Amino acid sequence: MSASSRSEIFEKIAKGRAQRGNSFEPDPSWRARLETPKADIIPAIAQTNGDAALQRFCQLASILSCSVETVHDPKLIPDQVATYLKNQQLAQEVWLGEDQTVQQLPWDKTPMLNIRKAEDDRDVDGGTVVTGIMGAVAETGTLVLTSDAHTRVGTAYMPDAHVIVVEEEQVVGGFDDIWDLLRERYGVGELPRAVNFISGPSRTADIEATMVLGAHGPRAVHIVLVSKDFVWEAPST
Amino acid sequence: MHITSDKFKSLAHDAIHDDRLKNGLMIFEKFLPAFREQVIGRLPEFEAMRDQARDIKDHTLSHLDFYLARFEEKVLAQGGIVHWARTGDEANEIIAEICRGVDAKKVIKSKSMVTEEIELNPKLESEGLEVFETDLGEYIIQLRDEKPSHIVGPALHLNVDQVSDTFYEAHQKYGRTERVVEKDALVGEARAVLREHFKTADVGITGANYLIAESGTIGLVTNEGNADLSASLPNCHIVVTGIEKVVPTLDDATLLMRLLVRSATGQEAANYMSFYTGPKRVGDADGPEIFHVVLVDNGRSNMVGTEFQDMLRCIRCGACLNHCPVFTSIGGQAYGSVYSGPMGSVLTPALTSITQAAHLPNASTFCGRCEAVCPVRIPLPKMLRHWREREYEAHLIPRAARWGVGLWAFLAKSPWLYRRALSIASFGLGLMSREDRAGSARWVKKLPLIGRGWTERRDLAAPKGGTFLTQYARQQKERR
Repeated sequence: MSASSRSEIFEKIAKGRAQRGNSFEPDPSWRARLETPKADIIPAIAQTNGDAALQRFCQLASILSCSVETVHDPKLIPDQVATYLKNQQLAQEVWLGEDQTVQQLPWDKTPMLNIRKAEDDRDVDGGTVVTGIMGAVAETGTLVLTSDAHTRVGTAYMPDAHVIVVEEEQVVGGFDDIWDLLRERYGVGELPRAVNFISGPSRTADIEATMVLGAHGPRAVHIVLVSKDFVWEAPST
Repeated sequence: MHITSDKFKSLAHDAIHDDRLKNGLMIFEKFLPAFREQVIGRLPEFEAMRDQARDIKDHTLSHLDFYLARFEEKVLAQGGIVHWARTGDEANEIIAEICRGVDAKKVIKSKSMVTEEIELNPKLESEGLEVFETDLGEYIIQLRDEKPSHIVGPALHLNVDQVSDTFYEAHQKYGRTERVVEKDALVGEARAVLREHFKTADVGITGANYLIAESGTIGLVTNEGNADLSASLPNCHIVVTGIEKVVPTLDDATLLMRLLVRSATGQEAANYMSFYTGPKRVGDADGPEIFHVVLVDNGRSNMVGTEFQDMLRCIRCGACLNHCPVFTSIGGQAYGSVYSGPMGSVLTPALTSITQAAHLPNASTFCGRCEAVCPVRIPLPKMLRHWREREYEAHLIPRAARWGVGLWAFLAKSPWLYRRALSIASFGLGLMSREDRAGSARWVKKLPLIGRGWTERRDLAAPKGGTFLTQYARQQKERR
């Protein structure tokens, strides 16, 4: 079924294409564009760097209803997570990601926290997940997750709260920088199974266009930015 | 694709008089354009990006077979499977076959207009499968057995009370017997009910906003997170989309994504913008082991090379609907097609036939706002005109309208007769009219025959001072 359908569709496309005098024989420039892709127009908002990028990242993430805090010493993170859970009136229990960023933190120094390890994405339903991240985008205050041996993609969507540890070197100007990083890491034309750009907690406006947080994904996203010097101060409301 | 566009006139009439639609229509007409305007104001490159997006889509559509072949090659290399469907029925059969192959009982779906177009759900249900739409809007209209009223906000024609009634009825079987009325609580209830289905589904079906030839990747843009749960939890992920969605590179998809979110909902980023490439890799911590892409033609290849090719640039943002005075007066369901508004009026006859959809190209005032806001600059009014020409050629215009146009053409070809007819008409209107109180103009309160409808709600100003040509002739005489 599929082989003949494929050829029929391709024949019809070819016929239509020929009507306009366009050729199938690829111009070398098209292939070159696929082999060595270049960014299209990169808007100015996607071209920040340094402290300006950190500032923009934190600001836009806050606008997207993320809570953001900065920390100079990563060793303090487990304590801060415990405080966050207490303030949010959430259970003192976290499902830890298998990634290096989170695993190297001194969780044993925070005995009141119940540390759990997910065997299945479904385990974290309704709980709090703590993970690292592949990158973060200042352009829109977005977090970037990629699938690998240590990253359960599904656990970014199943919990009620997602705590994400971002290292300052991971914050880039725009989406375009993420593609550059991934092409460098995996090769051009190759990507991990999942590359997920996450911008704040899940939301819907499907009932009378009223925004409601926590549609299907996390109701809360808490960002812990690890930076030597930068401090984010939320504008007072 | 079944459509009821032949009933457009009566459906539109009913919609105009349906007060329950007013709230939703105001959201489309006022809120969404205002949000769009605001974010575009923060992106000075927007116009240049529209040009670039148009050019990239044009290039890709002109060499569609080259880019589709490349996309297929990359998906296969990652261990995915690509299917080609000439028609909606063929696509449905392919998807049903995949479900049978994995012995599926339960299917979860995220929003996909192509699956609405091909009417996938009834097919899967006839196979004995349980199918759950999980986008909140799609879930609501699935429970109500309705068609989407807007390609982006499918249930925005409903009021919160109607949603409350629907959930109260549908969720009894889950032991939820108390009526819920608050919006937060309604969202929470849908979340809880669908969460259990997510956890136990065998197959996840998603659409795709773009197919990326560079890497064999599919791109998804959502706000709720349901598409990603559909693509992560079940062991089998099926992507269903149209062949026109392919773009060359990740950068091109990013360009379209930046335009899409701003044009659709006035966001700078949708909550979840996800890129999936093939099935779970060796060593990956999670993900589906089976990955299928079903590429649907269903009339699209017929548009390649024709005057309707530009329509294939469409990225389904819905901006043309929100800015259309016809759409914002009657809503989407009156169009009788899952694609409504200006884009629907061009696409529906192309995917079905002009005979079935003859009314739709006339559902336009040609005000041009649709083209002015289209992120990929589709010349929608021009294409609506092309359809009107086809409609006329196919003798689909009502006899009275053809007769009227024919009479006008006859008169217009003979200037002497034309002027005579005009003088008689304006004399007649003069007789029927009455001077207003200020004495500055004469008005016809009631026209006879076919003009009756026109004066039902307004008066017609009677011409005064003769026609342009008689005035011109008089002026020339005076100058001499």
